[in-house]
Amino acid sequence: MFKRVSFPTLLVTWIAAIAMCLLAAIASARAQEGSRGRLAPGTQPLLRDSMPPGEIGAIQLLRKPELRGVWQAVELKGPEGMRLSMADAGQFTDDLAESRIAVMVGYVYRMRLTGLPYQEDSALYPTLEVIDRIHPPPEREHRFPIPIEIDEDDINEALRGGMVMRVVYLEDNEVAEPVETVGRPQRVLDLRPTQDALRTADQLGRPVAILRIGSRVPNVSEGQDWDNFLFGCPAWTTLKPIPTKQMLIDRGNLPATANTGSISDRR
Amino acid sequence: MNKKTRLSFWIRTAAVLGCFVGMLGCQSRPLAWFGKESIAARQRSLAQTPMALAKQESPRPLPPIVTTGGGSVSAMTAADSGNDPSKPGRVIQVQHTVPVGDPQGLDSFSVPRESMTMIAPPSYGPAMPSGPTVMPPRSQSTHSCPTCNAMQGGNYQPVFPHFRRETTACGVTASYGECVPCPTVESFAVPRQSDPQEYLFDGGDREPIVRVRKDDSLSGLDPEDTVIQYVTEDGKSNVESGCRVAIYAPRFASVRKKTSVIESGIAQRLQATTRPDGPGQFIEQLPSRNVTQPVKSIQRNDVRVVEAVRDRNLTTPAEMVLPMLEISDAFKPYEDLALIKRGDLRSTDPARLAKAIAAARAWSNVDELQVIVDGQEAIEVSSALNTQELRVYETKGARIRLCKVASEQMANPGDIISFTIRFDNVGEQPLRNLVITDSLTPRLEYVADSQKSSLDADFSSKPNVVGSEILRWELKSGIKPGDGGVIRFDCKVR
Repeated sequence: MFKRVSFPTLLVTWIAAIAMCLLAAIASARAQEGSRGRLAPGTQPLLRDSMPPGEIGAIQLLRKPELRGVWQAVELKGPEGMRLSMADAGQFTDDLAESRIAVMVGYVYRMRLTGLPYQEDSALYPTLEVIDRIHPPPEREHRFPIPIEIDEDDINEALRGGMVMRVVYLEDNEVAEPVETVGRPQRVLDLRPTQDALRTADQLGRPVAILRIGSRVPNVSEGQDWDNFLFGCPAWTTLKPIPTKQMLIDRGNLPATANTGSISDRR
Repeated sequence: MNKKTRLSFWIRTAAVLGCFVGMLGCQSRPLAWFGKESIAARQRSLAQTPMALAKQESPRPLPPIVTTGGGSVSAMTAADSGNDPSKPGRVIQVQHTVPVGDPQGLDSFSVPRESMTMIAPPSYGPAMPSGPTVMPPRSQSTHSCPTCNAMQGGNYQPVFPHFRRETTACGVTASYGECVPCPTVESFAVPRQSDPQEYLFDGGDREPIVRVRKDDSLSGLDPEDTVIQYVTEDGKSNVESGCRVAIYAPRFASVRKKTSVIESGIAQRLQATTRPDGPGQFIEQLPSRNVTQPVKSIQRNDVRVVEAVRDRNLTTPAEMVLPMLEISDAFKPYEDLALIKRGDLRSTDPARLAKAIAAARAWSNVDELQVIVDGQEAIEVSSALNTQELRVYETKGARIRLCKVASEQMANPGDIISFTIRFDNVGEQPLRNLVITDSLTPRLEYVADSQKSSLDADFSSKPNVVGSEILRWELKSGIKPGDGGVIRFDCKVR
């Protein structure tokens, strides 16, 4: 059964066997290393965009306890002439003069939009849910609000009876697209209805806020259902307007001949 | 098969098995496991097991508190052992004894049972006063640090510490056998969180490290990298990087999904109804055994027809079917993006970020030029990054320092940031053919004609892989030891 083999043949065979064992061990180690960070196939995401308002925020507060009680500045922008009021203490406030407000992470805020373009009589009642925060330098939180932009497409679609869901995400600066954004509307990626907006936003960056537009007329006006419609009116506050350079000059805080160099005029 | 062949077969099989066992063993137990320190560590750890502790303590008759037919359990209460029950860390020892009524005696417990040691939950605060504690104080660590291991009175030592260097909660790194006393913890405030995605980084040298090819071109120049390339007096070409600046500049975008309600005119009706009005047949010849009584229906159940169904379906308008995601993927600049997405960089990013933020914070409080000259951080970074090359420089006497600072710590899109690069020949020999290269991140746009150099240099720019630019200054003259130069340029935040 076994033939007597010469010593060189035996040596080569042994070296080959040991080398193959080593290669197999290295390959298995590399395979384990490679698959460590990947999700297993068929993994269901914990958060989906089909969840009702408030659920994602509640899960986020459970997952990240450091988000509890955190105020996050947001800035609401809309078409020319659009007026905004927030739900507060069981009713909608007067139209906000300043669109820069601070809301709490994890809660749902009901808003009322009036003065819609070409639809003066209509009103929309979107919800805003801030699901994560950003970390600006101390005392500069108001300078870096999360921009929540509502464009005419959103309004028209909502007035037609559609449901518009916008997930605002923080771009990953390493993979950001090298495009100019100053003075332009927020870049929007329109998804297919079968795609998960939250998951896509998570792939592109870090989702921070969800805006849902679709409820045109509240079907209740008082009682428990009305409180549910307003999501309990969580606390919010307005932020002081950031003075522009002209305002500072008018107040005398800035010399009129100030150098218009690289210093940002929004400090 | 003769005897010799059989012996050879078994020797080979044993050798292969030994090879496998050795390989498997090496993966889990390095040679350090057999070291003196490791053996001593294991012995110390074994000395802390409940069984060893029970052996060390003097035996003492314990009053039985529960006696059942099967056996008894005796307990040593906290008061018996001298512990104050109100104090944390008190000992509650429960010991199994031989059942009284068991005629078999000791034979019923062939395996001696360990005494169970339960530790009362600790209270967070100052160290416990001296007294009988559960874990006897070890000779190596006499301090009581609540952050080392609060559950065991502050004496924490890993069991097999040779496999990694432990870092205690207070940040003190210690190998095994030396539990460095932590500094006094004054507050338990949560450190300020941050996210590197909110920052723009520029400068330094990310992985892969920039190398000089034979034709003096650079490989491994990533976006954000800023390097200086020079040729020493003996003709050797080198490249070095400087510090890294962080600018807080978050940018947001959004994804949108539209779903709508559509009406469908699907009406569901009954196809046929059966209404028995009367008997269909009479049998007249024979008296009927069965009489079919025609009964008219008293009440007619109306089947309400569904006239319309409002169905909430997902529409797919043609203008929304845009594979923008795939297009966006094409912009991804690095091959290691998957690694970033998998989270492999998470362990390194906070460290980098902390360093960059600390540096940026330090520089923001003083004048720019002064900072550049006294940039202690930059010197440390440069020397720490290239420790091995530093040895070469000491013999050759060539070394260069590169430092980069930004005018702003934070910026909104549209703001203009001025960058300043300072390079100094801190070695002992003149350098020539100096080339400074800065690859900008995708969110920085070079403002045309904004660059200025204190030394005469040829400036050129070309696009990089992420849609920004690679700026390149080629100095026309070399610099002597002790000399240096400054380059300034502006960038606009996209």
